[in-house]
Amino acid sequence: MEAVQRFIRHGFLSYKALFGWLDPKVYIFVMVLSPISQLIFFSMLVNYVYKGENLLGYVAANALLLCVLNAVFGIMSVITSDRWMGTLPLVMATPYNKASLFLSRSIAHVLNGLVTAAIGLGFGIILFHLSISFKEGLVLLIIWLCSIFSAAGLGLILGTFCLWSPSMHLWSNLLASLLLLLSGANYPYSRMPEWLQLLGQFTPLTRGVQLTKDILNDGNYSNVAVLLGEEILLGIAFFAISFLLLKFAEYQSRSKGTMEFD
Amino acid sequence: MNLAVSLVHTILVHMKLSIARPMFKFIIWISPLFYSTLAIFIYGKDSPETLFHYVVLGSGFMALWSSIVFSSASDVNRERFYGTLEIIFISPVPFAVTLIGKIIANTLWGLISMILSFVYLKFVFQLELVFYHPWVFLAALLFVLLSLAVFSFFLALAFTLSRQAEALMNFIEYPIYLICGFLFPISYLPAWVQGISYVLPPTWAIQLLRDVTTETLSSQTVLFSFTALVSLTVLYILIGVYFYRLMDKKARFHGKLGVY
Amino acid sequence: MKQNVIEVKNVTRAYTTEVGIFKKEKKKVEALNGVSFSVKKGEIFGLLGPNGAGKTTMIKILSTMLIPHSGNVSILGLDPAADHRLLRPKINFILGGERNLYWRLSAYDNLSYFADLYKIPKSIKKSRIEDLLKLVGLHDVAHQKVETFSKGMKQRLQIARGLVNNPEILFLDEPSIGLDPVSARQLRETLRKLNNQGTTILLTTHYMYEADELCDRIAFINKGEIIDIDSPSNLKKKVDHLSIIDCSVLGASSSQIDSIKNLKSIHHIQVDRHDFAWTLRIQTTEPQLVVPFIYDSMKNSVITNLTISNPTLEDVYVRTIGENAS
Repeated sequence: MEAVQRFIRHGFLSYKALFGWLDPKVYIFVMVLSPISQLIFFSMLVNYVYKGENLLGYVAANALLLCVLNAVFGIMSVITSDRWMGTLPLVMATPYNKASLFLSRSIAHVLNGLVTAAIGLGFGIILFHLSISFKEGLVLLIIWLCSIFSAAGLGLILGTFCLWSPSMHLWSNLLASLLLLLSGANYPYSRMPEWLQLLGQFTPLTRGVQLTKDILNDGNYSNVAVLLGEEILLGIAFFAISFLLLKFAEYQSRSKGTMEFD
Repeated sequence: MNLAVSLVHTILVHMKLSIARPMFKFIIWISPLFYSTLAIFIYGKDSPETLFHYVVLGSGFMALWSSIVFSSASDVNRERFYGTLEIIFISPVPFAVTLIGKIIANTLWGLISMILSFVYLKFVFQLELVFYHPWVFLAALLFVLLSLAVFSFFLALAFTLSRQAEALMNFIEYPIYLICGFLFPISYLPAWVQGISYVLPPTWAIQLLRDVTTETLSSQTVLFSFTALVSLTVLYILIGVYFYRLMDKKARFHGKLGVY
Repeated sequence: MKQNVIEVKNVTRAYTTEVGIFKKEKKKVEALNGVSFSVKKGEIFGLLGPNGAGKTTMIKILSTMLIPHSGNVSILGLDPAADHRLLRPKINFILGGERNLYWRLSAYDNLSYFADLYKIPKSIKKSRIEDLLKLVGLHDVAHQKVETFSKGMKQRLQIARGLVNNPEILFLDEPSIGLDPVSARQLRETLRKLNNQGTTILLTTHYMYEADELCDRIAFINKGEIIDIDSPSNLKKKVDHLSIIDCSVLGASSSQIDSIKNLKSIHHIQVDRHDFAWTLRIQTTEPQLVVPFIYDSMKNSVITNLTISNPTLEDVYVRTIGENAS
């Protein structure tokens, strides 16, 4: 029980310590206005090109993609901020299980991602005079939570890479672009060449987008269980890989001494 | 003569500096490919002219714009952060020359990036590059680059003056793509937004390029876009000069240039 | 006879750096070259040496952050390389400098955060944090954000953070770097208090008086090797036959100074020059010969000061390291 309390407390305190720099003005710009502008751009674009067909699905899919701000950029800060603050060596030297540590830190960003996506969806619905039912909303919530969890796993892998490579902006933007492209949020999935479709099966959010479109455009709930299961498994695999990488990074730091944690 | 030499020198140095940064490499070499791919997937099959106007030109402009804005604005920000802003400011080479040199350098990179997206779309997706009147296109393109450079000079100064620059920087990409009609015509936007579009140079820039690459080239349409773009460019030069004087005063009189 | 809690035998550790842009040559730097020493339970042990001597490398090895290339290390009977998971709850370390704290959190929250990372049980966590804050004198500002703290306050909070798991051994790497004299003294008092309560302390420093005042024993380290280990008083005894002559002269010429330098009965001389003013610090066994010589050779200059005193630890250090360097 105490372990659970510690887990939760760590998530909360580390979020405050590493991320709490956002003053209200910057927060509004970065976490609200910027994602919304992305949503509006793509929604208007697909509305024009597809002449309003399947608009709800596309708007919602784009809203889901907004989580990338938190699931990639936010999650990466879980590692890089600690390093920038100079506290990473101290944290790594404590006895606390490192997998639990980074998992607990990720949760805050997953939740934040859900909020960002929800704000996007709300805004899109109002702007385009759309509507969704309560049932649809609830199912979407669950699907999105799992999808964002999966994206966070990939974000954490990227975060560990930053221990080796200093160019974190490059990697994070690359991943954000890849997810936007491969998830198929803005076109029918079949438009992509087969090899890209295959690649998309290994990236998060693809299944979340697929389910979002299925449910909102066609009222089709048949694939939910399968795709959701796959998305969660993918997320677990990502987190597992990132923990292995972290262990390797720690080992390298101790044996080579060149990859300093500071 | 001396000034011209320093300008060329600044341009070359800055081109090297810019491309040395990993993030800029991404903006120039990789990001255009993403935009182009996204655009072509969304549009799918359509008439060559539509595809050229909206996919090719559109994604090319997205690349160009990202490069200009990102580098110009973030350059000012970085100089401010490193505390070198004041140092450059009082150096013997006039600050304006340094700034202009930087912007030209970044614009050149933006052009390279735009050409890359053209080439990519032609060879990977077999899109036609419908120039129709290549020389006219080239002339228009050069003018477009000039006008965008002026606009980014204006932006860079605005960023120098304001501390909110950092927050604004992230915000300036998608809204511009949207309001200036890169990937779809602005006639699709509500009227009040179009009002804003009309005072932004990128809107007329891409419109001009679309006008000169229409099969039925109407000199009236082209002239209209051209005039609009020229007027705006002049306007922004004037505002830019005003901002520059303001910045000079703020820096030397109030001592606030480096405040981060 | 107190037992050893730290035993270091023939530890080596090298760094390879790549030199050159095209043809990357691998250069091997021996940070530690066969270091051996031991520390007793309840001791304050100092590792003293110039920058680049290997102090930080040694501390990193002892605090489980780095694996030695060869040799044996045993801390509380455990190997920090292999048994780091078992060892970490029992030790802690403090780095000098202002980073290593979360400046957006309060002092209390910082300690709570690290207490969680050390899995301190809920039942004692709150009282321990309050005791630690009282120990370092930050109790009144417990709920203020660290970004508002002065350097000295931050360093004190660092100490509290380093004690959050009640470690048996505390490692400190240049703890008083950047501290003003008052804060540095407070730090030393805190460390002494801790030591009285039974904590073994190993610190690295290049401040002489700090080592002299605090440490039960000191090891001089230079270029990855231990030059000497002993208590401060024993180390000073090795040179207590020496006298130290401090002398300030105005308007001397270089040749006059050189003539003093060349005196046979001088063991070591340190010469500093600032425009026309020269400062000499001379180690000699025959002050009775050196002093008159100084007066004789400085006929056209003004001697503004001349004192004779006993050697300090710094003199020992300068002499020992200096001898080792040649």
